[in-house]
Amino acid sequence: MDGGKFFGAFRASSGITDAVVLNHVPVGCNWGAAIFKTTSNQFDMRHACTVMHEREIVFGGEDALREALIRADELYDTPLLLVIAGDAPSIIGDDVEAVVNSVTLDAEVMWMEAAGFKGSMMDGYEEALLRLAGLMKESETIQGSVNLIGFSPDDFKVDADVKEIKQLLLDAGVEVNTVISKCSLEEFRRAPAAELNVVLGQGTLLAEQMKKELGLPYLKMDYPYGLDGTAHFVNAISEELGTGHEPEFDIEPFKRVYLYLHELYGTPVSVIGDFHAEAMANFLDGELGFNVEVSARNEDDYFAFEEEVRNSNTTILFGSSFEQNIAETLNIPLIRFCYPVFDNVCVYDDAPYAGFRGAVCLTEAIINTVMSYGGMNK
Amino acid sequence: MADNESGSRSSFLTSFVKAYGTLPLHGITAIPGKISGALMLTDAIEDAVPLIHGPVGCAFQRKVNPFKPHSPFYTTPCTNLNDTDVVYGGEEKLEQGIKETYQRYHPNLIMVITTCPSDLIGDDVEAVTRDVSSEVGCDVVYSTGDFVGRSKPVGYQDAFYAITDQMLCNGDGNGDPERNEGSVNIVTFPIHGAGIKVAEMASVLGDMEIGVNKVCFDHTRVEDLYDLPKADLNITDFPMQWAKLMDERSDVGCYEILGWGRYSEEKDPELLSPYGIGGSSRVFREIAEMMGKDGKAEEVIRRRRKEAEERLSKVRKDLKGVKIAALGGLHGVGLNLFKDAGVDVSVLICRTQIMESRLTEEAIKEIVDMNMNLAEICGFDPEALVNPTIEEEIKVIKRSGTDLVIAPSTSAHLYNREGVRTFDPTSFMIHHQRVGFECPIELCQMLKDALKTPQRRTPLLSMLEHDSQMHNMTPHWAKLSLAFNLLRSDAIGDRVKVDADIGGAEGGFDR
Repeated sequence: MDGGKFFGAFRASSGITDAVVLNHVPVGCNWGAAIFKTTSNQFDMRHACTVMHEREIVFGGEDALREALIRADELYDTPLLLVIAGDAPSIIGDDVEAVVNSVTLDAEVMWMEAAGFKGSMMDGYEEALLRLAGLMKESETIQGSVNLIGFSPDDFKVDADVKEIKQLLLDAGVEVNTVISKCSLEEFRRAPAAELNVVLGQGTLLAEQMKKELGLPYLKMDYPYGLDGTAHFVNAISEELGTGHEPEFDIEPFKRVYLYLHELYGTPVSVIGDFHAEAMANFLDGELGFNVEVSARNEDDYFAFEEEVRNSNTTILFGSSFEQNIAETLNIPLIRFCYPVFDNVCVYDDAPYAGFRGAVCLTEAIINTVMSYGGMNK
Repeated sequence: MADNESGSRSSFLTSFVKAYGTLPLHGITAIPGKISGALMLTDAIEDAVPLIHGPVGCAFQRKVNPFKPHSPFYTTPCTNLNDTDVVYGGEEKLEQGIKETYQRYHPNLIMVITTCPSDLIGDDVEAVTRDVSSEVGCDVVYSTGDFVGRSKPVGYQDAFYAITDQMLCNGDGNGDPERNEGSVNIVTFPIHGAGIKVAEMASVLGDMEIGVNKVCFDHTRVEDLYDLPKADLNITDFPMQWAKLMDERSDVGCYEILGWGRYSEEKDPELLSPYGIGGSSRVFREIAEMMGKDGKAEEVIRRRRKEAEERLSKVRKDLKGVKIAALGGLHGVGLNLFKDAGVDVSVLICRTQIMESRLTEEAIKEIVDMNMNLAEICGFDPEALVNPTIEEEIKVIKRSGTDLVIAPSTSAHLYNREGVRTFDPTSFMIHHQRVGFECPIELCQMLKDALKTPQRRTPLLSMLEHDSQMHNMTPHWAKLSLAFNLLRSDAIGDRVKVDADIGGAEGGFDR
């Protein structure tokens, strides 16, 4: 199930780590945006809401927005307020731009229209980044540096994955200039300093615009899951930038569990998720030797996905917290790897799922989940 | 064996519930809105399926159950409105959605829940549900949030009202079924584990020769809902609009355990204190009176009360002289339960910061006064602290020789690090606090267990900075809370005065 445009815009915007997002919406939309973020980092909550109510629906939400802007500016020490207008103000026709222009605040204010009914979550993410691109400033190119585009601050394992990918690239002589959208405003502003944009699943429109306007080339890459996937990722970037690095990985951890890997080889599994899903399926199939019986994207028909999984031999499900019930119904374990995950936490930044070490952590998680699940339920 | 399994599952879930208590729920930094309440009700009906009439994002975010985030609303089909539908109307999609929902899930009830976009564009949901219901093999009901005014929680109240209005008492004969004479329905919030928590109440009522027609929500199905109008009386936690409607249309009386309406007239704080030996006796007596069983009830209450008091006198022996610091407010462990337990409430702590943006000053003062009055009625003479800093609290707690602080897990570490033991009220309230005579006995045992816990001097949580006023939050979260509540009060402008809405205001999650 797709989250809709508002969610995509919120995720992209809240990735500016020192900005405050002001949701111009009724309380429910604001709650939804917050709740998915809460389990990923309970300290990093930076949002406010205009709390549109019946009065605003009838008389317009512009006064509420003006008041909320002033309040948010007073209450938060932030360089940037990002206003996201959702479904209700879009339908009633609030002039958000006029309100934003009518107030003088300490923080810079940027606004975007993102009614949920006007597009998918990826549309919201892409359009928000295009809007945010207006914040970028000309910067001197840093040779051998890249921007990573496609992250969201509430992605499962995002901190650990970014740390791992940065280290892998650093080992290859590549510096990560800016991670979009998981960076400070200042880092975002200087994104044009990179030599290359690397797009991971989403953010292509921003990369395309930066190519057109700044001449900054870009590569579209799969999310670096698994040993092979990671090697390919690093090699492609290294080759593009001419750093000529051959990544090495340590097979030792896998030797310690080789008997379990024997047992799991050929295990029928199913995978569902956002753009992470395909890369995950490739790792499971190509490296662990699982049989991926059903592979689906969030925007596909979820009911059909469930039917296909039920009619398959699936014994492990890979997805998000949304798959909890089908896993329970089928009495099979669920490995959560992509947004939204609200029933698992990831606070240790050295246990990624991406990269070489991520392949080890992921394999460990799969084996542990399967073994403990069998012990509890059989 | 079955009991053991149930017990272990219960404690497992308890830890989850406590863990999720720290999420930004119940108006601290966010409110989930009407859809969540409607989904909560629909989810509690085993053979019902919701249909969210709105853009896909509404269904996506609504999958998370605000009261049980670890257990999402799994089935949330959606009409997936797009910009074309917003311009030309979403009625065709709604019709198609109802049919598809029936074909896919074969429910006995489809609850159509409208969203901001479908409300704003003015889809004639009533006409669509009426027309299409004959084409599907189940009931179809719609909830817009408009049926119950500001009765909170709006989504829950509205959806239940919709079921009563459109299904149970809609004038086509369903509302006048064969009566189950002399019986009551006990209907509690779906999150309150009705089956377990009302068992004693049902037993006492049974002794009074009052039958229990239905308990909701406990594996409740649509056929159970159709049986609700057979009873003589609906017993609910607090005022429910559906119960009033059923009273009007089907002559099923309604009794509210928390007597908000009567409190606003009589200002008797005991009306808001239905627990413990005294509170429960009053509640049983009032129900019996409504059911015409006064005489029989007195004998039953006397006998059950005597049995309980005999056991209570034994179990509370060790608690004599124990001093407690209790939390004031509208929701908490009732002071009369502490009276039953034989402990002394030496300190009464009232925190009003969260209420300030939603209640008038008079309302807040009344809540504080009400707690003090209740303490006096219970025979306590506590030192009252209103919005103290933690340092002030500790000082008074130590000076008064208080043994135990009633503190939720979100702030317990602040006392523990000072060598003061705590008792978690949340777990007690969720799993034990109920109308009945056994509850004080259970409280005694739990208090004794709390007094035996090892002292924790170095909890990890005490290393984190917490707000000096809102002890359960870091300064950042306190700021978030302040921001949300300020913006909310400005936008809504619906500060609640001193009347029956106080309870709904603090406990409400809609809007």
